[in-house]
Amino acid sequence: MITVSLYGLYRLKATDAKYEFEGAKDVKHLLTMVEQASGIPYKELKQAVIFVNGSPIDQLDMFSTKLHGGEVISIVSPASGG
Amino acid sequence: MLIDALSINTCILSPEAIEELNKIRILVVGVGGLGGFVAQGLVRLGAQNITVIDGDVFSDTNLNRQFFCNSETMGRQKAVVAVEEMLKVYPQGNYKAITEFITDKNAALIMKDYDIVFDCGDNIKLKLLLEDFCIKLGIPLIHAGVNANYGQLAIIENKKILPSLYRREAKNRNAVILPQVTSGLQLNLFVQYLHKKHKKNKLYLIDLDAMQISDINY
Repeated sequence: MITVSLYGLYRLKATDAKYEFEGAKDVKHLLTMVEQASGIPYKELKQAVIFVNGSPIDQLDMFSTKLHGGEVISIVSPASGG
Repeated sequence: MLIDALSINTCILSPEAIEELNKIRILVVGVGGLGGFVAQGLVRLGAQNITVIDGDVFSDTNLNRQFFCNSETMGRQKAVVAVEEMLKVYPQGNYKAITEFITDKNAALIMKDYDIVFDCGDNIKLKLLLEDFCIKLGIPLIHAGVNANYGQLAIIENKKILPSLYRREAKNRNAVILPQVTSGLQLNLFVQYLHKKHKKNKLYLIDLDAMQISDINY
């Protein structure tokens, strides 16, 4: 089971804040599942900051980051205002 | 007098934290939406040594959210106004204004004299620069970013997070509520830092629409 939590803009756009998925082999595959479940287009999800177990995917293998089940995924829209 | 009123703060501050507040040298970068609330909050917490830096002046688009912006301060330097107002609360405070923007050329020279920095800036370039120099100089950075109803904050000490957060342009359009809530949480992180109770490598995510604060251990 992979748990996906949406934050900020993505939570506002989705039907739910949290989803659970089985069988996603990597982050790219997972995002297609999130698209189907949440209604947020894949293209938009690719713009998000994505953490796998607390590690941002730009410090891993980006969308090719492998998933094995049990991961906690956070999809975040950072803010830059002050 | 503030000095008497400060004794009420013992409800959240230990004697050791109060002693630290007397000594710690604080730099608040940006005195807009976040920075105005942070600066006045630091004074009311009892911080004695605060410098605010901002090269900008108040304009009418700041009125909806910036604590020190009003009809009398319009067109004036934000940092100068902030210090004037801070001194009205606590005239004995060692408060200074720097009316410049921080750049990669002056950052090290300015920041080296401080023990902690508040990131209240409103653009990505500045935020990345602050994280970079704070880590190089070994100064904790209390980062925050806000947009509409959501934002994030963290104490950054030696592990970078902002290049990952700001790989792309991030949104930035604000009303008064989120900056006020977020700056309060920045002050709370500061109080936790004074008590050595803050959590390392934790990113807090604020969602006012859902009335939630979540966190990610990064």
